[in-house]
Amino acid sequence: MMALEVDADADRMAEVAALLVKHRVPLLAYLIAAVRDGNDAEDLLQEVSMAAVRSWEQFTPGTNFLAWAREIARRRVLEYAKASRKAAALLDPEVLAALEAAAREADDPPDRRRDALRECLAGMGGHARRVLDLRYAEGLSVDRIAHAIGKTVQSAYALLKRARAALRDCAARRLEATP
Amino acid sequence: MNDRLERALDGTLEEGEDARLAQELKGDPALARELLDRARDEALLRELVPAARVAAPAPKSEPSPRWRILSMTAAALAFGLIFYGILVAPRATPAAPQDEFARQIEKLGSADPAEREAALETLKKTPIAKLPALERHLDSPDAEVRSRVHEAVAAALRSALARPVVKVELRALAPGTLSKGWKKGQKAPDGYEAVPMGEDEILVATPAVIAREQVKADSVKLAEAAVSSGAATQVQFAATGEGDTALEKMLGGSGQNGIVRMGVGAVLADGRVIARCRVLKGREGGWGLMPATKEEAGRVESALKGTLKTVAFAVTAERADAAKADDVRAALSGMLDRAAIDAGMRVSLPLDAKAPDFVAAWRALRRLGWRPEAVR
Repeated sequence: MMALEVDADADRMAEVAALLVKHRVPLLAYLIAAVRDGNDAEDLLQEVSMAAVRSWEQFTPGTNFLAWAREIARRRVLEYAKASRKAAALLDPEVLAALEAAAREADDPPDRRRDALRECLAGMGGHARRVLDLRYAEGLSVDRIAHAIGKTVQSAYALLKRARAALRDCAARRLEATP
Repeated sequence: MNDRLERALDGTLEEGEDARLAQELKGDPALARELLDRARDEALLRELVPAARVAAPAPKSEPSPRWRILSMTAAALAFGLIFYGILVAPRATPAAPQDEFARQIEKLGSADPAEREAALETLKKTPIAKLPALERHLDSPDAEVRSRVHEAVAAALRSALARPVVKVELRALAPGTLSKGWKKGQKAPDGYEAVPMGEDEILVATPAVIAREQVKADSVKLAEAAVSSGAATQVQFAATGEGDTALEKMLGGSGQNGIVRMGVGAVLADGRVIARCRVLKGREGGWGLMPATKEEAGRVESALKGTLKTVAFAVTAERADAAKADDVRAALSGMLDRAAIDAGMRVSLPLDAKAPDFVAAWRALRRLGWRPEAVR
């Protein structure tokens, strides 16, 4: 029955889609570390996702999906490096290999850290929260954050840095407290 | 070193620093790991910060606007949601030339109060399709201009709110373990809310809309794959009266206050099928979906064509534990929003009914890739 054949294909493709959803954070982290631009990394992640869904036949169920998807990501980053007008030093293939090696060690699901950061974020207010909102919800650059809060770029950067540090410390304390 | 990694991720390394960092990364696995850890936090914050904003709890005594759709009170919807799309946005009116915009913007900073007010009133009437011309002035260095442009953008968006509302909503169904022991009429467990589903009620996680993110390119296919993966296993439609009747006749479902809540044969975006499915009655937590035949989906598609008013996508946690469901919701939310935008469908974002932040909503829509210039 034709519908069953279609369903079998759909199941495999769906498995790839579900794995992309599951591994979104580590893939995005790899791309952010590689291209050092969150917005470009998000764009690349979409390209990687589409490439993965399109080439679902090449993925063998039961094997390491994240490694497979990261290889697609690595190739996209190299294409990006060719097209990018940015200084390409950090887009060197050897740097990507170093990141890949580090990523293999860090393949644990980020669930606990996500929970810890979420709780820490909920307890954060004032300027720190405002700059985080501007940075991550509004997607503003540090220059534009400075403009929005009426501070110099240096002050805005310092605020953002302190806010991130506070979140990291808070998350570390929570993770230590709940092993 | 930490500062340098942070600046690397912010793209603010000084000239030469990136080359030195690259050399160090090649020979120092611990440094590469630290960079990746920072990047992981960046990835998580890009997900969590917007989600925390959307999920900011509404006062207990005031039901959140997004929930008001369930009771389908038009007035609440009008003030609770911002919406856009080919049928919602104003039809194109003769465009003000770009230099006219520039003149009006300049007048916003005029020393003459009458001239400032006149310019503001003119700009408040900007059609939605032309608002991008004002966009960059939202961050004008001139505080006077900035505040008046905010006011103009808000007024232009507010003017659209008297029109019909369309909503795309993501919800997480309660896992089977929770819904099994719960009965209609009982108090919902913490973190969940009971919503009507035909004759029954189902438990869905709060908040309804979890997170939005940038999604580009071919999202309809991604949404289709995501829906068929079983991650999104429930679709609710609210059609116009005509659509309601057609659906009830076809599927034997029940309408309530003009809204039909049921699983149907296709996920539509104004007539375009982005996923085909058929209804599975009696599934834990409501109606489930599975791939349908083309004919089945086609029947529903033709019945609903042109009548679709509201679509809500529900994401079930049945296939993953509750913790993982957050990932699914966050990713699907962006995919489905973007799919709806790609399909020219009308989408809504929640706004605080009492103090709506139109500019934030505008920016959220733009981040999703919405192009108001394409509005007819």
